[in-house]
Amino acid sequence: MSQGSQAQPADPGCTVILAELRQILADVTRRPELLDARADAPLFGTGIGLDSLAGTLLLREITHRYGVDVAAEDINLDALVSLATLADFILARSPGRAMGERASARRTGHEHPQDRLRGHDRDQHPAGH
Amino acid sequence: MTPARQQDASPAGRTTIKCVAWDIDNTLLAGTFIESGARQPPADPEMVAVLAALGERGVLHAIASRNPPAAASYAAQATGGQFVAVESGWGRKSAAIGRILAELDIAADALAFVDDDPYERAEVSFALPDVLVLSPEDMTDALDWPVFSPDVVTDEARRRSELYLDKRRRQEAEREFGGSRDDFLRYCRTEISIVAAAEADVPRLHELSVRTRQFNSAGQGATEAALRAMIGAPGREVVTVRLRDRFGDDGIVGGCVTEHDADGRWTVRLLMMSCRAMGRGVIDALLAWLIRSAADSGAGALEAPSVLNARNVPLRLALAAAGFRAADGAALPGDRDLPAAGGQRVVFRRSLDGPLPELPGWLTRPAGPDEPGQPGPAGGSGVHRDPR
Repeated sequence: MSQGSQAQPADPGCTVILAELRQILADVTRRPELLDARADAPLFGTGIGLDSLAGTLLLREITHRYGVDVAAEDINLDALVSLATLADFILARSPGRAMGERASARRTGHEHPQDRLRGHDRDQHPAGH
Repeated sequence: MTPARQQDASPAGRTTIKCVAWDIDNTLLAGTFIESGARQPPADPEMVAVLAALGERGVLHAIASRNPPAAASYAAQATGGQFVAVESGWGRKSAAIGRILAELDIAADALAFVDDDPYERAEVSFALPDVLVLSPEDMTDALDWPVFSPDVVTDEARRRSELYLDKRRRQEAEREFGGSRDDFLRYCRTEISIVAAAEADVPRLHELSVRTRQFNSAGQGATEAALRAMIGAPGREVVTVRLRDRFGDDGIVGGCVTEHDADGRWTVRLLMMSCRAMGRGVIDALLAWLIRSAADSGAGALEAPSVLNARNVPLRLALAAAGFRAADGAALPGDRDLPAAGGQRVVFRRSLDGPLPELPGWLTRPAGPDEPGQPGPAGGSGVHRDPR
């Protein structure tokens, strides 16, 4: 999935999830041009330049949508190498949800206040100070 | 105040309260706000005194009221209080409190809610058990409780309300702004200064060590005595990170303690930053400076031992973005959620071979061979010393 995945994703679930991840990324960074981001473009550093604020919002939204807590499983956050690696990581852990079964996704926090609050309640997500 | 109540409401080890969310009717005001009334009730004089005393200690104020927004404006004017978040409306108070927590980016256990209505207090207590819920009478007594009494009040703490209002203006400007984050930081005339810590900075460094959660590598506070002992100690370097821009001067928003051993290893013993500075390039600049300083001094490796928990994921994102990786063999237990506090100790290491991060143009760092603890003779060439 790390090369050429934007043109020909092997898995239809991957196509869906990549489109969703681009949308989330564009939302959390407020950069609509990221809707066209290459699947293999590095998320950190030059290029997409994900910083810790946008990264935190991205991970919160992924937990909310797919029930996948990247930070709790991936010590080096290698899932965040690119959109393609992130899509693979999510698909491997939550294939059903990635295909659109959202209702049962664990709601442990994302950037909307009410849901962030759940994160505060459970005190298990970055919640500021 | 009865000792029993103090013990119940203010147990040892409870987080210091950072914000008080206030009801208006019969709480901030000695009566009920009247929507069309020409004569409004006056402010409650006891609560006016409490607002002022807490403000002096660096506690923020917010409003959670079932009233039109005009009531909040009137309450602010009548009490002289500065309210950094205002929730007016007819929904549940717990939902209003939730929005205040999200807006200020603070955890539920760092907020107190004051309301004269027992129903509202019960509703918030039930929905948000970590919030400290008080009646106005309790609040008067509670001024003496440890949770409302930080041991030291720094300049940054006293100006906290103002800094949150600056932050709101900056966020509004950012929403209007079209370009990238770096373009916005330049537009803001962002200035980040890394400055060798002095004795006078110890209270603020201590405050940051106990208040920061999202960006704190140690997972626990450092005492003033410990910090004082580290400043100027051989093989140690303690720096403060200051931040300001066209919207305001945030003062010291971060700090870092590094240890340099005889084997050429640099270890970051403490890395911390206020979440108020999040998204403003501070942590990235600090890490880039650390990596370059270590490389310039000929260090073999730069290590950052960190205690991982659910709250400091932003720190891990910053470390990952700067090229740090967990030392060999370290792994997380897997499908379990991270604990909120405590947590797993992991050494992150940054290779100093290969490309080094660029220092952003808005960073000023300590320079010159005379700088205590400054690496190598060439370490600071081409940069200027912070004027402050």
